[in-house]
Amino acid sequence: MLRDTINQLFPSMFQRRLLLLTAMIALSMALLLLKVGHLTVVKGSELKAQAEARLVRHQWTPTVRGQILDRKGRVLARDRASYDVALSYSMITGEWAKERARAFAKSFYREQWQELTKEQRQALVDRALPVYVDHVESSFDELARLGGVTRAELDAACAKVRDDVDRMQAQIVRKNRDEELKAAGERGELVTPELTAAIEKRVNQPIREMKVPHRVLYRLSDQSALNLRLELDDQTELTPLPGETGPREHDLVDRLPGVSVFDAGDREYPYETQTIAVDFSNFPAPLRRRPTTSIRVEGVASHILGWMRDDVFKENNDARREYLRLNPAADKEARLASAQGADADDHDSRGIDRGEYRDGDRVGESGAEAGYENTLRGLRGWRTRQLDTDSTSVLEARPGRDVRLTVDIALQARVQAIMDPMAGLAIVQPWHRVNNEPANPTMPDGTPITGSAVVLDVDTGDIVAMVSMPEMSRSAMKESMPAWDRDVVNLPKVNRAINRGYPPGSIVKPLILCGAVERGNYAVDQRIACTGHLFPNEPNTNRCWIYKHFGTTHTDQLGHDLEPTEAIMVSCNIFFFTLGKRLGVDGIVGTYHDFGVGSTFGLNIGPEYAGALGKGRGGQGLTAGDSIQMGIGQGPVTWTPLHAAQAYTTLARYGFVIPPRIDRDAPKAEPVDLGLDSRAVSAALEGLRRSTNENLGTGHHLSFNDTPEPIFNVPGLDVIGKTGTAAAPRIFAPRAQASSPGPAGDGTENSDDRPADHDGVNPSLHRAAPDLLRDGDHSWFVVLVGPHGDRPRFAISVVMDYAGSGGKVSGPIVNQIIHALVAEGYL
Amino acid sequence: MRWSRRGTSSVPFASSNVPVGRLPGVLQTLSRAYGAWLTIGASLLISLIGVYCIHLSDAAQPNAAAGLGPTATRQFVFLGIGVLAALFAVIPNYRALSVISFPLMGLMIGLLIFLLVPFVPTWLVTPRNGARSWINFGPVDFQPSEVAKIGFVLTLSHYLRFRENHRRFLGLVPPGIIAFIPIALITLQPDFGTALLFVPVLFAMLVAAGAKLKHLAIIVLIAATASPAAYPLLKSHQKARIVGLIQQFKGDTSADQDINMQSASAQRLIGAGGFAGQSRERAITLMKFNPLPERQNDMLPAVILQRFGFLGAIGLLFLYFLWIVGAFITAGLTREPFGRLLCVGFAAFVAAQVFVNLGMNIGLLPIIGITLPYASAGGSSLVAMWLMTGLVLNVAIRRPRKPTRHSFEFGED
Repeated sequence: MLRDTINQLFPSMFQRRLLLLTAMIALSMALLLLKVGHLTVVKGSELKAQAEARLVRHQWTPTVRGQILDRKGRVLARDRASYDVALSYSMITGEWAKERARAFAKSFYREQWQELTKEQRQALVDRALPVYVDHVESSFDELARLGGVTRAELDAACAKVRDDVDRMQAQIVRKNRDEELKAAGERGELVTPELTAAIEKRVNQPIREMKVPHRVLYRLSDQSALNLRLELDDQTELTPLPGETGPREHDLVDRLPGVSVFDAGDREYPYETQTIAVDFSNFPAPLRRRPTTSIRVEGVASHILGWMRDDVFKENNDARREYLRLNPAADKEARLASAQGADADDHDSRGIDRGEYRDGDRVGESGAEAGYENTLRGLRGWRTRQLDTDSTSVLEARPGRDVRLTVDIALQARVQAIMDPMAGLAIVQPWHRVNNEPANPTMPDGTPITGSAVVLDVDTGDIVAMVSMPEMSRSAMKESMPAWDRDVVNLPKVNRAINRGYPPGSIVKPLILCGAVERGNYAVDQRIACTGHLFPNEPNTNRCWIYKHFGTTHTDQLGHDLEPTEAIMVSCNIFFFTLGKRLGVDGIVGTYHDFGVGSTFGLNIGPEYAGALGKGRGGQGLTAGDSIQMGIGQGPVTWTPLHAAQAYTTLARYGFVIPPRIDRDAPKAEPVDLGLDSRAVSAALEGLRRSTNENLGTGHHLSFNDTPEPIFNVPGLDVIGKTGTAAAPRIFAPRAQASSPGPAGDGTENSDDRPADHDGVNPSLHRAAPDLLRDGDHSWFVVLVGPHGDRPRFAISVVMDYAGSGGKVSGPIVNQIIHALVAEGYL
Repeated sequence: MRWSRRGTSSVPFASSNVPVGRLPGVLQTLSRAYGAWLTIGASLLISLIGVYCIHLSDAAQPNAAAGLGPTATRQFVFLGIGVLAALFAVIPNYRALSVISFPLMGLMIGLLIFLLVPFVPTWLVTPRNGARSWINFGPVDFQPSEVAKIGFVLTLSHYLRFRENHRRFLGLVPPGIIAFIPIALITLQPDFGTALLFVPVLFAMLVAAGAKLKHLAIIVLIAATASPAAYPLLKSHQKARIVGLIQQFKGDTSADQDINMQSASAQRLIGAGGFAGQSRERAITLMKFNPLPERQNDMLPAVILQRFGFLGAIGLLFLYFLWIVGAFITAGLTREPFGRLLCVGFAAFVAAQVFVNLGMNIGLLPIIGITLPYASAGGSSLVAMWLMTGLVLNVAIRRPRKPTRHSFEFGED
C-alpha cells in the first residue's frame, strides 16, 4: 500500500533510491542532534560548570597556631614560620626526564608504538630526551634561585638524598637477600644460578623512599615560599621533537616539576630551658655552705605545655568533627562554603572545614598543646586565582587563638631547679635517714628522687606552679620516647601532680578533724587519749608511730590527753584512728569526697587521676577497719598532689571550694560552701600552725648531729602545714611481675596490704628482692603560706616518691618553694 | 515530471519508457534551480565557519597575537586554493574523467603504496602521530588518502555506470574489490578511520545504482553479526577506545583523565556551549583552560558547538544537509549514469564523514582521525572537498541536452 503510493509518487527508481539515502542521512543527522541536544541543553549547565571550574585555581594558605602564654604574658609556646621544599625522587635522580620522554614518545607514535622493538622505542625516547633534560636543568636553576641557595648547594642536597636512599636500599636488598637465601637453605634448596637470579629479581625492588618527595631546601621564609608556590601553578610547553609535526607535538609540563612546598613551621618553646641561680644559704645545714650554683633546667613546664607531633591520625579529624558538631559558632567560622574543587575529606553541604587535619599538619600530642588544641588551632586561608583574568581573591587564614595559663613560668623554673637533683634536695641524702637507717633499701644515697610540687593560689584557685619531676626537654623526649613506657620508676610521661595516685598519709588529719566535727562524730573540745595502739588487746596493729618507734604515747609525752590541735601537731595516729572509727565508712568517704577525692578538675592539660576510695571512686567494698586506716590517710585511699593542695586551700577558705584552674580565661567558678564547722577549721589551722611552729610539731625542725634547725626559715611569713609519710606500694621490675604497676593512678597503688601504722619511717625494712625496684614511703608536705598575721595566700603541696620522711625530704623543698615565691614577688 | 529547466511541469518526458509522476511542490521548486548551487553555497559557508572557528582556536593558544591566527590564515589560503581547484574541476567535461578514472585510480594506489614503502626518507614521508599518511611537498603537505576518496568514487562510478550485474548477489563482488584496495592500503598507513569511510560510500553508491536492497541488507546483517569476531584483531589502542566509549555510555568517568580525556574534554566544551553558544571571548577563555588536543582538526566541532551551541549544531547539520540535497538534486536532474553516481558518491563521503566526525566529538563513536568536511584545518582535505564541490557543479552544468535513457531505472527495488 505505502509502497504503491511511493512508487506512484516517485516513478523513477533512482529518485526513490535517492530519497531513501536522503531519509537515512536525515535520520543519522537527527540522531546526532539528539545527542548534541542532550549535551548542550540537558547537561549543558553541568558541563559548563565543569569547564569553568578549570578557570579557577584554588590554594590553601597556611595559618599559625595560637600561642600559649603564662600568667604574666610571657610566650611559652609559639609558631615559627618556615617552609621546606621537597623534590620528587624522580626529579632528584633525573629519572623524571626519561619517564617523561618515554611517555611523550609513546603518545606521539601511539599507533606504531606497539609494533616497535625495544631498541627502536629506546631510540625514539632518546631523541626526545634532550629537551626534557634541559628542562630539568632550568628547573633546578630556578628552584635554587627561588630558594636562595646556589645551584651547587641544591645539587649537593640532592646528591645527599640519593646517597642516603641508595644506601638504605642496598641495606634492605642485602637483608632481604640474606633472608631469602637462608629460607632457601632451610627448605633444602640448592643455590643454583637460577635461584640466585630469581632471588635477585625479587629483592631488587624500589623502596618506599624512592617514591616519595624528599626535602632539599630548608627553612624558607614566608615570602620565598609564597613566590615558589605561585610558580608551581605555571606550566611550560616543550617541543621535544623539533623536526616532526603532529597534533601531539607539544608537551605541557610543569614549570617546576615534582616540587612541593611543606609547611615546616616549628613550635618554639622559649622558656623550655632556663638557667637558675640557686643560693644555698638558706638550705639545710649539710648543703648550706655550697656556693651559689647555676642549675640548668630543661623542659620547664613540659608536662603542662606538652608537645606536638607531625603525624595526623584519623582520630584527630574525628575529634575535630565532634568539636564542630558541638560548637555551632566554631563550626560556622571554620566552614568554607564556597570551596569548590578543594580536596578535603570533610566536605559536606556546609562546606569544608578550614581547620581540617591534613598530612603534614602538626597536632598537639599532650599537655595544653593537646588539651587546648581546638583553641590553638588556626583556620587555613583560601586563595582563589581566576586564571583568565589573573585576579586573586583571598580568604585570609585565621590564626589560632592564644591560651593564657595561670602558671608563672619563672616560678615554675625556680621550683623545678629546687627539685633538680643538682640542688641536693631531690636526691637521697645521708641526713634523710631516721634512726640512722636508710629510708629505703631500694634507693641508696645519691639516688635522684622523683616527685611533684603544686603551688595553688588560695584566693583564686590559680595553679601558679606545677612541677612533675622528671621534666624533660622535648629533644630528650624524642630521643628516649621508646624507653619511656618501660621506665616504671621514673614514669617520665606522667604528670605526677595530676595523674598519679598517692596514698595521702597524715596530711589528711586536719581534714578528717573537720569531717568528723561536721558529721557530729566529734566535738572540738573533746580530748582523746593516745594509747599507743587503738585496740587494747592488739598491740601490733593500728599503732601510733611514737609507740612503734619509741614505745611511748603522746599522752605520756604531753602529760595529758590530746586536744585536736595537739593531735595534728604531733600527728597522733590514735586520735585520728578514733575519728576514722567514729566516722565509719560513710563518714570517711563523705569527708574525702568533700575534699575532692573521686573527682578530677578538668584542667585540659592531659589525663587526670580522680583519686580512689575503696575499689573505685565511691568507697565500694570498704570495711570498718578501712575507715580506721583512712582516718590517718592510709588504707584504700589515694589522691594527687593537686588534690592535696586543693584540699588545703578549701581549709584555708573555711570550707569554700574554688576549683583549681590553669586556663586564665576559664570562667570563674562560684565558690561552693562545704558547710564546715568554723571552730573545727580553726582548730585544724591551729594544729597546722603548731605542727610547723612548735618544737613538738612533726613539721617544725630537722636535726643534724642533734642540732635542730627549723624547716622553714623565710622571715615575715606564716607557714602552717603538715607532714605525711605514706606507705607506698612496691614497684617491681615489669618482667618479674605479671601485672606491672600500670599507668599511674589505676588504683593498684592501694593494693599494698602492709600495716600502715606509722608516721615517720617504715620500720620493717624489706629486704630488697632482685626485682624490687621501689619500696618504702612517699614523703608528703603540704603547707599554707601567707604574710605574717594575714590569711594564707598559697597552698604548696610536695610529694617525693619513696623518699621516706615527709619532714626531712619534702620539708626543705617546700621551704625553698616559699623562698621562690618571695623571689618572684608573690609573698 | 520534468527534469528539464526549460520545460513546464506536468509534461512527461516523451522518450521515457518509464512512467513519471509529480514531485511535491517544494522539491519541484527546488528542482528548477541547479541543485549544485545549494552544494556550492553550503561548501562556502561551512568553509568560512571552519576558518572562523580555527581562528578562535588560534586565539586560545598561549601567546596568541591579534588578528587572524596562523592556522586560520593557512586554512584561508587553502580555501582559496580549494575554490580555484573547484573552478578548475568544472572546466573539462566530467565525462572525460570517466575515461581516465581507472588510470587515475592506478596512480592513487601507487601513491598509497609509496607511503608504505619502508625506505622512503622521512623528509618526504614524515610520520605524524605514527601514521604514514602524508607526503611532504615543500610548504604543502599532501595526503593521498583524501584524493583517493575522489579516485574511488570516479572508479566505482565508471565501473557501475552501464551495468546491471550488481543486481545479482555475486555481481556485488567487483565493486567490493574496488573498494577493498584503497581500504586495505589506507588501513596499513595506519588510518583506520579514513579507510572505514569507504564502506558506507560503497553502499550508498550501490543503493543509488539500483543494487537489490535485499542483498545489501544481507551483507550488512552478516557484517554486523561477524563484527564482534573482529574485535580481537583490533590494535590495543583501538580496543581501549571502544572500552572507553562503553564506559562513557555507562556514565563511568573514571577514565576521563586517561583514554577518554579527549572525548570528555570535547563533550565538556560542547556542553558549555549550551543552547545558544558562548560569546567569542568566553569561548576563547574556556578553550584556553580546557585543553583539547587536535581541536583545530578532528575536534573542531567541539569549538564550533561551544561557540554556537545547540542552535549552531542545527545550523551546521542543515548546511551539510543542503550540500547533500544539492548533490542529490544534481544527480536526479542529470540522466547520465556516471554523473549521477559521482554526485551520490561525493554526498555519501560528506555524510559519512560528518556523521563519524560529529559522532566522535559528542561521544557517540570512538575517536578516530576523521576531519569535519570543509571545516577542519588541513590543506589536502579542504582542497579535496572543494574538488568534490567542483565536480558536482561540473555534473550539474553538463546535463545531456537531448533526452537520453534514464540510467539505473530497474523494475523493482
